[in-house]
Amino acid sequence: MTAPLPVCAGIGLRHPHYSQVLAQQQPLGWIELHSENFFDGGQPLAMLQQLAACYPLSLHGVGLGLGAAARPDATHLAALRRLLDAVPAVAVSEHLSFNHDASQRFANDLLPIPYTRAMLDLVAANVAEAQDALRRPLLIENLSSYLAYPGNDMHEGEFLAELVARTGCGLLLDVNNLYVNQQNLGTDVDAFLAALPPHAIGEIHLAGYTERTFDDGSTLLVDTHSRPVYPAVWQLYRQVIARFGARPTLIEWDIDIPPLDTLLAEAATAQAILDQHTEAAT
Amino acid sequence: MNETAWQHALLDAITTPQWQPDPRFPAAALAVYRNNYRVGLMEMLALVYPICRQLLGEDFFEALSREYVKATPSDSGNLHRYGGSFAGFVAAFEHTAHIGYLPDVARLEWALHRGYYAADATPLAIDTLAAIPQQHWGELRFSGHPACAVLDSPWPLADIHAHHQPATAGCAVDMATAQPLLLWRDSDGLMQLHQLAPGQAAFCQALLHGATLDDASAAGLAATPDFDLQAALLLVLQHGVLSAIKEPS
Amino acid sequence: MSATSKTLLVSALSAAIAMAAVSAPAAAADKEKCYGIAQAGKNDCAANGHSCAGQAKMDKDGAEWKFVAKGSCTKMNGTLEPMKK
Repeated sequence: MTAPLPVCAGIGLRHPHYSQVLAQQQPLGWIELHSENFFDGGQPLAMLQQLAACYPLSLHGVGLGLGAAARPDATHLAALRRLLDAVPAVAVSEHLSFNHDASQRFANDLLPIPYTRAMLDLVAANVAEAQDALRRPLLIENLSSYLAYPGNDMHEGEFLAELVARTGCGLLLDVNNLYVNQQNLGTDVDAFLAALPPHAIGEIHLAGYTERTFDDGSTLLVDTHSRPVYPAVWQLYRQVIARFGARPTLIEWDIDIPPLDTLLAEAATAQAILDQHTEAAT
Repeated sequence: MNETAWQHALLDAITTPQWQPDPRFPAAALAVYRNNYRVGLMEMLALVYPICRQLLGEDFFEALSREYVKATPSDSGNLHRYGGSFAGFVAAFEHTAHIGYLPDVARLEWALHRGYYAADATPLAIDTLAAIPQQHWGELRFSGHPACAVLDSPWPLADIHAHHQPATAGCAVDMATAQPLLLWRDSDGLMQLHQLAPGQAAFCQALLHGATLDDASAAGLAATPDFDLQAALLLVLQHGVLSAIKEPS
Repeated sequence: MSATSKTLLVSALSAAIAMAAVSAPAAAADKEKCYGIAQAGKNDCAANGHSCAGQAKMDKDGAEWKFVAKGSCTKMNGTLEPMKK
C-alpha cells in the first residue's frame, strides 16, 4: 500500500495545462487526472509517468461503471490494471454510477443507480471484483444526479456506508455533487453526511455547476465543472471539514478551462479553509 | 429484478435516436442525460476526425456526427474507442457517399488516433535478426508494433493530410495520385506518415498480419514487378514496424 | 518459394541489416507529417465528452439539418466535386 494523498489542496489537471505543469513545479499538493486518457501507451502514458515523478498523483476513473447491474467490463478493468502497474498513483477513484448493461451497451456518462438492498449486493460484488483485480482499495465517489430510482429503500449516504463496510473501499466526497442533489432532488444533506463513516473519506471534490432552464419552465443545476466553486458550496465544504476534519481536496474544472492561475487560486481558497481548521484544532 | 430493468430502461431512454416521453423519467432530467450522451460522442468524433471535419465544414460534420451517433451505440467505457466504424458510415451515408476519398481519410484519422494511444512495444533489434541463421529468415513471422498501420489507398492521402495541417495548409492535392501510407510512431510518441513505394503496402500489410518473410516478399512482388525488397526491409527496420519474432507454431 | 527468391531475400535482408545498423533507427528517419499532441485527453469530464459532469453545450434533440458541404472539400484542388475512382 502506497502513502495516501497529502492532506492539502490539489487540482484536476487537464490537457491545456499539461505542459505548464510539467515545465515548472507548481505550488500544488497533488494532481488528479482521468485514468482512461492514459490507457495503453505512447506519449500520454509517458507524460503521466513524468507527472507522477513530480507530484503525488490521483487517478480518477470515469468509465468503469461499478454501479451497473452487470459486471465491470473485463477489458476496461485490465487496461486500468496495466495503467496502475505502469504509474505510481497514490489514490484511485471511481464513481457510484453505471454506464453499461450486460450486453456491453454503454452510455459514456455517470448514470444514477437504485439505492436498494438488492442493488447493494451487486455493486458490492462489482467493487470487490475491481479491487481484487487492481489489488488496491478504491475511493468511490457520490454522484450528481438529475433523477432518482422510485423504489429506493435507503439514501446514497447509507448506500455508500454499506459499501465501505462490505468492501473496505474508501470514499471520495464530492461536495458540489451533494449540493446539486440537494437543489435538484431535495437530498437531505445532514442525513447524507451523518451516514458516512468519517474514517473512509479519503478525498474531497469541489467544482462549479450551471443552472439550466427547460422548455417546461423547470430548472436543474447541471454539474458542468465549468465555473468557480459557488459560495454555497464553499460554505458546505467548511461544514464538511468541520465535521470530518481536513481531507485532500481537489478543484475540478472541465469545461471552459481557465488559466492555471485561476485553478491555483481556487485551490488556495480550499487550502486556507484546511489551514484554518488545522490551526483551530491545535 | 426491478433495478436491472430500470437501468435497462434508462439506457434505452438515453440512447434511443428518437426522443420519446417516458413516464418513468422526468423530462428535464432525461434531456440532460440524452444531451450528455449525444454531445459527448459527437465531440469525440470531432476530436478524432479533424480533417473530415475541415473537409465537410463544421456544421455538416456536426450533423453527420449526430446521424452517426444515432446509428452507432457506444460499446466501451473508454471514449477513445468510439468511432471506429465512421469510415464505413460515411461511405454509405447518402450525403457523403459521393465523396470517394472521404472513407479513406476517415480510416487514416482513426489509425492515427488509435496509434497515438496504442500500447508501447520495443522495436525489433537488428542484432536479434542478424543472429538468426540466414537459411531460416524466410520462415520468420513477426508481431507488428501496435501503433503501426498500413493504408493501401487509391487516393492521395498524404497530400490531403498535408493540405489540412497548419504548416502545409492549402498545399496542392493531385486527386489522380495514389498515396499508400505507412503510419508509425516516432520516439517522441508522435504519429508519422510515410508514403509507400509500389509493392511496399502489400509487403508491410502481410508482415503486420503475421505472414512469413517469404510470403510477404511474394506479396510485394505480386503487387508489382518493380518491388524493391531491400528498400522495403530497410523501411520496416528503420521505422520500428516489427516488434518481435513470433515463435513457430 | 524458389531458390532465386530465397537468395533474393538473403541478400536483401543482409544489406538492409547492414544499412539499418549504421543509420540510427526511427530518429534519423524522415520526420514527414507530424500528427502532434493535440489529441490527448479526450476522456476528460464534460469538456471532452466523458461526463464526470454534464455537458455544457446543448444539442437540439431531434435536430434536422440540410446537408450542404462548406468545407475544404469544395476548394481542394480547385474542384467542387471530387473525382470518383
